[in-house]
Amino acid sequence: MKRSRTLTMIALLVVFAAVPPLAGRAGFLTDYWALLMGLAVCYAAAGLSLNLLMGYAGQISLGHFALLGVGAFTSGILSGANRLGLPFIVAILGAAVMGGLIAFLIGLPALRLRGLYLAVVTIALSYAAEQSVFRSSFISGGSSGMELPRPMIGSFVLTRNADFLAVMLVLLLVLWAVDVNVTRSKLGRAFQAIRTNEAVAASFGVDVTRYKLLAFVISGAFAGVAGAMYGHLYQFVNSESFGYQKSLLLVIIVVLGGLGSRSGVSTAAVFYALFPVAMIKAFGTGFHGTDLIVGSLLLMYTIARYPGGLAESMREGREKRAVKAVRKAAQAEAQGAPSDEPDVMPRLPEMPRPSGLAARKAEPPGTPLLSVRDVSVSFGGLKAVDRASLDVSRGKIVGLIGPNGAGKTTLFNAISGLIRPDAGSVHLLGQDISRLPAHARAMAGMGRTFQLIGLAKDLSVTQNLLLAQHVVAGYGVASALTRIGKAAKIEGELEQRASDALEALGFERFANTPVKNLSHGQQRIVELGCVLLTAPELVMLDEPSAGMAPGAAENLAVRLRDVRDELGRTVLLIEHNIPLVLDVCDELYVLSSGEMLAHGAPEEVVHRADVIDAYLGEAVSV
Amino acid sequence: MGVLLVIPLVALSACSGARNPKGATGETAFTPSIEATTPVAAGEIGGEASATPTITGAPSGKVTGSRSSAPTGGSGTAPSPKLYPPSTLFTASEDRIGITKDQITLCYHLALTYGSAFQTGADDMNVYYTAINEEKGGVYGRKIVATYENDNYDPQTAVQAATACKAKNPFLLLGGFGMDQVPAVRNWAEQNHQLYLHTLATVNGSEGKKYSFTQSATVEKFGEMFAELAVKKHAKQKIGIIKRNSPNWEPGVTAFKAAAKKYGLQIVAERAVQASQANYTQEILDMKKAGAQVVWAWDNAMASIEIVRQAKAQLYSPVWMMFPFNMVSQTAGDDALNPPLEGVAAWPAFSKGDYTGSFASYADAIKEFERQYAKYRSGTDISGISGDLLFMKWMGDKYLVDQLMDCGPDCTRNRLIDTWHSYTPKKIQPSPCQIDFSRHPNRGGYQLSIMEAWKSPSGKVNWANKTICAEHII
Amino acid sequence: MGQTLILGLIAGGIYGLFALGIVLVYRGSGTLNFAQGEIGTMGLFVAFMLVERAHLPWLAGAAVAIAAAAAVGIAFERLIVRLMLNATRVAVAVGSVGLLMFLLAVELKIFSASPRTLRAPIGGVGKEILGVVVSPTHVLSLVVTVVVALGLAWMLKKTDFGLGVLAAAQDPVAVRLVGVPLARVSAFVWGAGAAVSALAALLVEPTVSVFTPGFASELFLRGLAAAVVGGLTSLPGAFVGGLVVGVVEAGAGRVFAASSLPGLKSLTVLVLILAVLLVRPRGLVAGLKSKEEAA
Repeated sequence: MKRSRTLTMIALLVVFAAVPPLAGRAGFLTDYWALLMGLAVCYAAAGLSLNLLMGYAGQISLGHFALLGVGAFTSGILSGANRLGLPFIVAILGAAVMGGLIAFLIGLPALRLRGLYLAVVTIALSYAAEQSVFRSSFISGGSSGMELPRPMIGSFVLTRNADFLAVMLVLLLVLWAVDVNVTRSKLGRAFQAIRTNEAVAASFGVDVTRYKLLAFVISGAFAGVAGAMYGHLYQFVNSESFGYQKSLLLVIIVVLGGLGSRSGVSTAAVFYALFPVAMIKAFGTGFHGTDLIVGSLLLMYTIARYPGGLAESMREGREKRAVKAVRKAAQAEAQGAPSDEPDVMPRLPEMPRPSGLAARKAEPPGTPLLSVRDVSVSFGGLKAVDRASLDVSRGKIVGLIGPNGAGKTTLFNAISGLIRPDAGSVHLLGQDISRLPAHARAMAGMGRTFQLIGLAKDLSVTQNLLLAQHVVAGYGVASALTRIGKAAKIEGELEQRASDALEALGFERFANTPVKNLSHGQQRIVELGCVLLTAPELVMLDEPSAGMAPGAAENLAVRLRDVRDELGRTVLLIEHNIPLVLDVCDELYVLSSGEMLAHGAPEEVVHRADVIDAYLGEAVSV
Repeated sequence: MGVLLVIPLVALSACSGARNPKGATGETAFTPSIEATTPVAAGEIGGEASATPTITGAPSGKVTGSRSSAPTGGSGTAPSPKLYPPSTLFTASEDRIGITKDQITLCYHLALTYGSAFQTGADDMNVYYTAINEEKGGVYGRKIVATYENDNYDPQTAVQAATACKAKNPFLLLGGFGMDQVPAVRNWAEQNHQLYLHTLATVNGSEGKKYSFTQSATVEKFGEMFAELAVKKHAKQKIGIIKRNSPNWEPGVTAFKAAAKKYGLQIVAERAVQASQANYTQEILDMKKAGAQVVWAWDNAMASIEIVRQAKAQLYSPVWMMFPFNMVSQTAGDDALNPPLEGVAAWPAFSKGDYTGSFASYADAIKEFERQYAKYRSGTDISGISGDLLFMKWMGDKYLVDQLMDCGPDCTRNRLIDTWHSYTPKKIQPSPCQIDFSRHPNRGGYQLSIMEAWKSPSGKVNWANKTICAEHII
Repeated sequence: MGQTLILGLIAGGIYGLFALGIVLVYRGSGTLNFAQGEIGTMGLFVAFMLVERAHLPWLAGAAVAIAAAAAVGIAFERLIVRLMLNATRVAVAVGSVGLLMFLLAVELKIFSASPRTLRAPIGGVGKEILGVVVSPTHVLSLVVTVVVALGLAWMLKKTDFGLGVLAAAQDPVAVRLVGVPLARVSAFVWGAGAAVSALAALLVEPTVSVFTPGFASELFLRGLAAAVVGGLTSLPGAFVGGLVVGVVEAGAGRVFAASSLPGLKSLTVLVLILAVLLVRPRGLVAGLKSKEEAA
């Protein structure tokens, strides 16, 4: 599998390097069509860049063409005959570096802004760059513009467009390969997790800030290369070459191609560059004017019919078939072995301690595993949590109950680091983690689930299982991008463990199913599997039985005890299901209106008058 | 399913650049150009010419032999001596590309995108060649076939257009109606050994471009001439500049300011505006506050209209200097007349149906132009806002044909260059601006015309000539 | 300085008008309508035909223009946006780019790129305030912006239908369960946004004095800046944002007047946007109202 991918790449490399120049010389590829194909390659590279940022990481950038400008001008300054005159390869690398650098700066506002706000900022950034920086004579060459030389092999200059097309295709191949590596590594998964739900990403140990900026940097590097290619293709750029409107066209390409789909975006780019000329060839220049009307109508129609773009239309076909298959399989199952409880939690196997995880120092004897002291959280004037304290000792299952709106999830969020409390402290394994961000707490051994299922819903089950192991993906960015070094080996381990977990959960048939297509109960199971994969010291569960049939809840109790007894984990759970709580918990805390109302053995606590008053109501029959 | 998606992407990409909303005004609005265009001008010396070297005289690379000093005044000229050795720029195989026994192929790169809606589509611009082909049988029996490729005022698209042109093996590539594209195509022409004749462009960036030629005055020359106009008519008055924020426009300003300094003009305010800015109130008030009595609006036609009218709304009526397009004067209407707008152009004025007064010296040419359009493109409205641009294109074609005739029955690219280098102006109308390649082997245009807004008897506000073709007016 | 302030307010009134439409669509559909400026321009052409060619009174032409724009907005909503309820907001924005292109193309086809003029709603010479001639139309546009902003804001907050609009933006699925007529809500938002756009164009055109297809593109951009500065969810904020952007831009023009560095006005507006969003990620006015953390 991996071998064939490498072989394909090499074959493509040979084809790309050899065919265009030969075709050009043989007369099959005119200079003009080679130019247009070169433009297509530029758009494809730019599309890959924007796709990584918007499609994978979900960060809106409506001013992306400015980054191509950065790349082109950098390359021109480095390689220009009347500038530094450095070799082509140096110029390309320089363009990539500058593109990444400037994109980093653009990424900084993205840390705080979302959605349309971020979109407008990116527009404003590219607009201002075009009006100011790109008009500087030093950067864009003033009224004479910037001439970018074609690369040379020895003393042979690649003046023919077909020859340079080969170079561009090879560069595109490199970008494509890096993009493949991104998606096959923790980077891609982290990006997609960030796009789906940042809180979930953080709970799996993804440093959201770092990865967001990383997405910008990699995207910027791609854009820099694309811009350099663009400049060298036309051998000229000036201050008018990178208007912010061209950024809009890039967004159209990426959206029409399908956000998140490499091949969709590349296809859209190719069409975009090549076919209009074909139209003119077919219909003549008299078509101008009407073609804009037709084109815009078709754009609107297409995007309304296939909001997910080209990729969606392809996927629809595939999914229809897949759904049919699953349905068939389910029917077969139902006919064969009737299962009375569709959401039965499977036996969770002994999850081995993953390699690559630094051994966690246990808490000093006598101290609890988790210690929460006097945590208070307010929103505006409302005090959601008021000086709440709780302890969880190793090897126990501790329950947290209380009426709706009591602040339980808020307390969870404060403990896991998604919210910074106004006061109080949190200690895990004897260490003060009050200042640590959420992802660092995940690294420190805290795992949690969410009320609304803490998974990346667009990703498949396998992808989620891999994402969940983020904390043990112990290789660096460079290794991820190049696939040299530890990345391949560690990814292999992660995949193996994910596959084992799939088997253990009995979900092999759902390996490539997007999580959002599973039932709620099935999602819950996957979520639990994910949380347990990296052997967190503390497992925090937020209403695990919510949405389950009563029978399934009993089964859940068994599984929870497995987690404590067989896996040796410590559990803190929020629950409304009192029988389950009584069945499973060693200790119970009651939170009401933000204050810790009671604490003790479950049997005692549920019979206390104030607890009954605040939460349980009359006559709890056990 | 996937096929359905092909179509929108197809059509969509036909709009590459065309969907530029900013471009819909001003630059890309219509062709050939709103900014400034100059015809391929042949030289009959009319008006004043002076022997003083221009400020824009560039370091000449290949001038050999003696420099001739331009004669002063007079109407006839002595043919200038051959200054350059016969051109060997093109190899034997390159020399005869695009010229056969039956046909001369020309290719233009122009902003065509909205042309058909604007009555300046490709067919509207081909009238002179059509007339020559039909009525004279072409040039030495060779029909002139001209095609047009869209460049959308974008440097990249212009290179694409030039490449498309090259696929047709043209004898000559022409174009550059607009300042942003020429540097890109100049560079491309150099790499691709394409004989390229362009119009308005900056001197800056032309160094070492052996394959590009121009018979138009440069951007820098325009700047200088605007300054001279200010000096000649408004020497003691305060001058203001409203200029486009663009490196391609800036050399004109630099030249203006250098000339202003030389002649002691008082520039009291200078403001930069963005393309399609739409609201110029602040810049106008700055001019007003500084007391500018003459303001040079160095931007495109659309902006010029907006500036003039918004200034009127602010009760501010200085003398405006600008590119003199009929589009500006006709749209501004009476606002163009109090005081009349003043303009510098590389072509003489055009007003349909007006043959007397300042048009008298080339009345025959105007009538010929109108006759040809009536015959071959009667649907085109040459009295409207694109009339002067069509006339300008027509004149350029006329001069080119004259040069091709001069080149002789065995014309080649090298021979055409030789023809240009030693071009002797003849009495053809309209009084063309002198072509003089003696100062630089690639640059042959140094003269400009002065105009003023004027209400024609037809009621339309057009432009009338004040000075036709002069290198200096002071 | 006083004059800078007046200039800024005049320009700001224009930007605020464009911002209103942008905010309205954002609140209703959660997306950016790139055709905002061009819908207005299309309305101008309609008014032009009626007022300058058919010699109808300005009000009649304006009314038809606004209605025509609203029709375009509603048609777009019905034919395109409604099919994209589950699509990403970026995809809907791309759809609006398609609308922009379509309108441009049709305008060019029918009217060409020739500059046109439409006379002002209120004739008469303006009054000179601190050296700036403020025309009656300037004042009118400021007044209209405030009235429309407040009116729409009141409607959104106080009427059931309006609340439905707000709710629909938050959760289109849920509101259907509650009985909000989602179809009507959605149509209203796009129709009203388009109508406001036409109003903006009608009031802006006398200041600019000529119009062609695409002439409002720069103004639309500034309207976008204004909308973000004011807070994309606040209609009065759009007005305030417009004024702020107008004044800051005019101030930058004054301060950097003598500088030879290009584009300082654009840079200043950029810095303004960043500064506002840094301090108040929800914009100046909208950010005042709530301090809940976005979950």
